[in-house]
Amino acid sequence: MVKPWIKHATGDGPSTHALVIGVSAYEHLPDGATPPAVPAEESFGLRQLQSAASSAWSFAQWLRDDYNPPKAPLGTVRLFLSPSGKEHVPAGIPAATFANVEPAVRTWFKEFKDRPDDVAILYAAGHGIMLSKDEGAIVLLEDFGSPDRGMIQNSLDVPTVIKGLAAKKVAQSQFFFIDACSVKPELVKDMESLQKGAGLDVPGHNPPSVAAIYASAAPDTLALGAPGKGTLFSQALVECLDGLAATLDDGGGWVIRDTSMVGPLKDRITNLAAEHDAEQVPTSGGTLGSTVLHVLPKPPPLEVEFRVAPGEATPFCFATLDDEQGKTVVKRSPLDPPPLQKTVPAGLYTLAVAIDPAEAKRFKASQQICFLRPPKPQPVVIKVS
Amino acid sequence: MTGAGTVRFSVPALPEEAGPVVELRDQNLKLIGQQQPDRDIALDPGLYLASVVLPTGESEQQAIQVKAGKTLKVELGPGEAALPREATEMHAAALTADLPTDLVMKTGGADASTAANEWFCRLLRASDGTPIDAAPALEVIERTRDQSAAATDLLCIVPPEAHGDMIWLQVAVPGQVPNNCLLPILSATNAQKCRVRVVAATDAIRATALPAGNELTNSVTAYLATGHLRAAAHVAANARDLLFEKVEDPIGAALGGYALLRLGRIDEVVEEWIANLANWTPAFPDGAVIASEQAARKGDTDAADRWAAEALKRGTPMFADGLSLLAARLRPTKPKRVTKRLQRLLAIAKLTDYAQIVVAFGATDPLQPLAEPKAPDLDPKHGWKSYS
Repeated sequence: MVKPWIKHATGDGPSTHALVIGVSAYEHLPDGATPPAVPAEESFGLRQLQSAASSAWSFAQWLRDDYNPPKAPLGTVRLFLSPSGKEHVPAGIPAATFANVEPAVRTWFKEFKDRPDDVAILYAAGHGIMLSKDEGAIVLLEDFGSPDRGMIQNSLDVPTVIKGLAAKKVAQSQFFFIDACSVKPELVKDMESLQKGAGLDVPGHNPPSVAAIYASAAPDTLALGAPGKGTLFSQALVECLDGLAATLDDGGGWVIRDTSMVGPLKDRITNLAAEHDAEQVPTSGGTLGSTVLHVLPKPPPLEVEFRVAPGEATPFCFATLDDEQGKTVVKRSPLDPPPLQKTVPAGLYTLAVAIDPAEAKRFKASQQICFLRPPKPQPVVIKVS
Repeated sequence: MTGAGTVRFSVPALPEEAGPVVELRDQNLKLIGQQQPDRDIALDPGLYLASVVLPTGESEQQAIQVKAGKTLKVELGPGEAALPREATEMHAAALTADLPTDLVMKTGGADASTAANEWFCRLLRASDGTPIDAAPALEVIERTRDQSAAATDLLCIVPPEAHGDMIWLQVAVPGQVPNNCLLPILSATNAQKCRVRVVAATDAIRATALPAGNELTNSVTAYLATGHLRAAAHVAANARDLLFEKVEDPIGAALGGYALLRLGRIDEVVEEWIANLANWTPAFPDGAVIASEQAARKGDTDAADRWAAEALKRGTPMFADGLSLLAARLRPTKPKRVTKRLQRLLAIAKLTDYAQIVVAFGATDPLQPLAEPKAPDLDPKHGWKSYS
């Protein structure tokens, strides 16, 4: 039995339990450690990946270093990585084989199966057979295609995991991040039922309060990634968790909710894909509950543009930005050449524009209150005439 | 509250039934509460932040200074005079969010797409695939074109030949596999109109469609399309009497139902009302899907299974949420033979683009999703109509 990568003592209170899996290297695919057991057309034409393992490693590091839930501190992280030669992950992390992952799914489940206040997180990256947005994907493990088992059986069966977690006593806050390079559906069109991969055998009948499913590639699209650097999904996910998807809680603090992730994650992945001259469309499914996943230690930083209207006033204008406590965040700065660009924490501000020289009498000093919030605030334009 | 001031918000872009949509925070950004527009609110003097998410997806916010004994009127979003334009912008924003133009096109390098000079479409009855004359049903509203793509917005009205059936819109360019989407219209109900967007390049074509119903339906649709699930559910919950008790617009009710399901709030709607939605529109699988999920969340697995079987009998759900939920409920957890009907549903579930609100996927024949995809014969005798 493989030990968790992280195991913190959290006492009797609620905890977070994560299972993180990343598969780039496939033993039985072309260029794998073992010659392919089946011809390419029967292994769906799949090739080795270059970024899935480093994506999972990136997410695991975020959990270890930055994850800050409101109530259930990090308890355990079970981590399995099968990296390609181009990826740099620590040595000694167990490989994402069926023999390792299958028992780990069960021991991960046992951590929270009678603890409704706990939080369960599953992150899986690799080749995948995407199903619907309420099922996630079947993620292929390192030994997929092994001759001693059925074609799809060396896989992580995310749909049965989701069904197995649907019970009243199980952790009621569940988050699934499926980062799968999707197999073309016409190649698996005859596969209607699930195929007994690593999963949970007994489906539950009581949907939890929150079972948020974020998937990186809808059926018939591909998950993209930079070799050795992680997938676009993992990059966007960490950016969202670090502040892009931040929203205010009732007390005025900045948090990441399951609902606040939906739009920014989709937009960021779409934008990153466009930078690579490609398309990738993420989806979100399952049940969301406006639940707080992560509390930011401070307001997220934002890049903001400041301008004045009319534009001809710009050479004479100087801006000062004070926060809601009256502290100056941006000292008197010229607005010429426009726009004035600054990085400031999200929040409520007073923007004051002074006119200098004073003989530029056709313009008048002005002040306005502005609220700057993620993901990207609109340019702030202040009238000085 | 001694020395209080008064504030009255108005949000012309949202119907009154949307409920308390204005979020009010103090100067420390602590939440005061959600406020109903067009009502006087007493507040201590000071600085506040008021914000509302508009159906276009934009967030409108204003910092307001409340003074003792004074009344402040605050308008959020576009005013009454701008509303006709705002409705058009809302529909355009929703269609763009649902089907971004650059999703269809390869934009750079040698493989860059070019806009199609001509594309084709036809309407098919969902029950048997019979072509319907598209000419009376589809009216072009706007065309935009750049080097890489041509986008056409159309208004679609239920064709008389629908006879209560759901309708597939099939679009194609020569030599490519067609794209199919279910139209969010139902004859014999108030859901008679929808807006369609077709984005066509020489090597790809996609279509999406969103309902063009009453103000409430349009708001919920736009919120869902622009990714504001919480706002959609909020409006649906506040307007549940209008949406679900009266079922004035079953498509609006279904979208509101999905928003509430996604946020675990479907129990805020009376079970009987959901059953009415399912029973009063027997050609509409989505009503039965929502009834199934509501029953499942109440722990009534028998009712959940019965409604799911009924939904499957009715056909492919109109909305991607419905298809996803039904596929998740009906997919066997162990290898076993399945019926042809379920086989077809699960095949469509694998092909569908879940980023769109309606069910949409590429196939030569939407009734034969398992068949080998190929470019069709676009002859008018097969019901195809040309657009350029």
